[in-house]
Amino acid sequence: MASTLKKIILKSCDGKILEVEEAVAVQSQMIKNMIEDDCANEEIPLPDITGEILSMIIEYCKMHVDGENNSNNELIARDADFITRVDLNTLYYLIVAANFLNVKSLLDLTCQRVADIIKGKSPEEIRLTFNIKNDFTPEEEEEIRKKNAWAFDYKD
Amino acid sequence: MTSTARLRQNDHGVPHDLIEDILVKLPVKSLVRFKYVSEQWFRLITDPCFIDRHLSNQSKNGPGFVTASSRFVHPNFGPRNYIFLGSIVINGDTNTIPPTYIRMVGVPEEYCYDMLNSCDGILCFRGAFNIWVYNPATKEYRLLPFGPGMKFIIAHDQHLNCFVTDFIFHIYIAGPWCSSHPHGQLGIGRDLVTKKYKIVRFCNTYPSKTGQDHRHHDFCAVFTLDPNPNACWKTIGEVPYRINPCSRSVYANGAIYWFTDEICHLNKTEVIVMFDLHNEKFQAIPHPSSCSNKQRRTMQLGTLRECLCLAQQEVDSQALNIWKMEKQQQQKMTWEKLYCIQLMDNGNDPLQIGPRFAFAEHRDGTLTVCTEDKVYLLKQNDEIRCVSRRYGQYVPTAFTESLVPIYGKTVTQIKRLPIAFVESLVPIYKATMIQFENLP
Repeated sequence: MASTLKKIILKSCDGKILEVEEAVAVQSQMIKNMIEDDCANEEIPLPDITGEILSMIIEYCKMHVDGENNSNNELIARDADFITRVDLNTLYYLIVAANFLNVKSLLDLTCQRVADIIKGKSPEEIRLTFNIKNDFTPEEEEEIRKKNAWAFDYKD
Repeated sequence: MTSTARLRQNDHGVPHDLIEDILVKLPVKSLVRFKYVSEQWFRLITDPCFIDRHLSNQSKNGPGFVTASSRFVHPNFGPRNYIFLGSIVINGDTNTIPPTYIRMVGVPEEYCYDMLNSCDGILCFRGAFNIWVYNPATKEYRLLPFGPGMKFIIAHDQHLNCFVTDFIFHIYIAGPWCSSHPHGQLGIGRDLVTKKYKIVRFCNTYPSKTGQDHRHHDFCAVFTLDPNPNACWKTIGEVPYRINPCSRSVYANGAIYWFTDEICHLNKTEVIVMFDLHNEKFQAIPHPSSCSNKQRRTMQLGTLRECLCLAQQEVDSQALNIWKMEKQQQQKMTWEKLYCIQLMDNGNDPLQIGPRFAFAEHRDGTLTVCTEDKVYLLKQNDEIRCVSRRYGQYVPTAFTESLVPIYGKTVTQIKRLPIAFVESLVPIYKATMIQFENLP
């Protein structure tokens, strides 16, 4: 089909230009909408996404377009392989970018990965990880901790 | 400042709405702990919309089972308020509720508490006198009040009854061992319009209008689980159907379902009764035409894909058929066959599943059937697996972990059982399964 060969041009915030096949680009609901509205004929600037993150997202979308005929289990295995290569810091950028570009399956995958990483952490570690200030008074904190003491047993 | 620099500076600063996308994927235990990361996180994790989002995400991941029993704990001794609880989570997912003894401080001691149905992670228990609800994921429980000013008769069997009189009301109570299947009398579910959870209970006035027949109840009362600590039961009025006291109540999509009593319910074409939790009205619904009325003992209600399901074992072949009910327009219902399963033991004899079982589907397409002492994992074109447990006689119910608050107290005395729950995964059974409709 002629339309699948059409290229979409994406420009990252650090000036990197990437040419992507339309079939791959429409994995992003945002770009799909732009194409439907006929706004994708020139390059699309992506203000908050770096070239590095953008290439990762395109790699992911390509993987899903190529793997369309594969079984569900194969796709899950590929997803797992893709996501375990990403460190936590990069994951945050991927989440923000997947959200902006509206790639639902990637947003699910990245959020699930962060959830898996943080699920065993203590509240103090979470504050450090997400750079959150503790705004409870010591009394309030003690109260909540006492009430839910069982949840602070990290054995499982 | 360039965008890159802005991003760098924002390291780890994931926007709050995306934090929510991450948190909905966490297990309940982590969320209970993370409540006290900050006030903003506390507000988010206790927000009803978040709790619903988390719940629907959890159910997508495929439900597990919870099995409960209070009989196991001290089979020959007096009243107690212990229950024994275990969960089975299939396919490598974490076992979120390890097998435990739980002492329900604040729940009066009784000879036996039986688990009834469950809804969105809340389990409902009843003894001869008391009814309480428990969310095992948040460890919160709540004892429901008697109906003040109401005269209840709660009875299952006349033979072992003892007669209890209170200053306010009289209660006819079943003895501890006679009520082996008291499920029919109570159910928990969610009103999908008000989003509140309700417990429905059948009761009689005293003196009973039905005379000697204590197995059946004329009236229905509803308790709404809301934050009001003084909430009480509300009578709905007369029940136009005779409910089978041995059939388990099942919650599906805003309604609770029961079987009618084969003998006492006069209209033999009415087999399943629905109680709509929003308008609080009863309605009979037709059952699959290919399923005969006479075999009600071999039938079991359940929920798959948020629809009411009916499982039935054929008397001669022991094949297990599962139908799914679909609501059409204008309250019309149709049934569609989902599964036909034939279980065989080592000697290739048909295997009976037993009268009490629960079933659920995992997202990878595995159908799981949980009986009182075994769990069967069935997958089309795949070998059947069976997990058996050393100590039997539990009540199984399909279960999804949730943060749903029940406005009660937190259980403090929980004892892990290190060995009692030995499970072995043995592919000894043979089975054939036909799946008529794939998971959406």
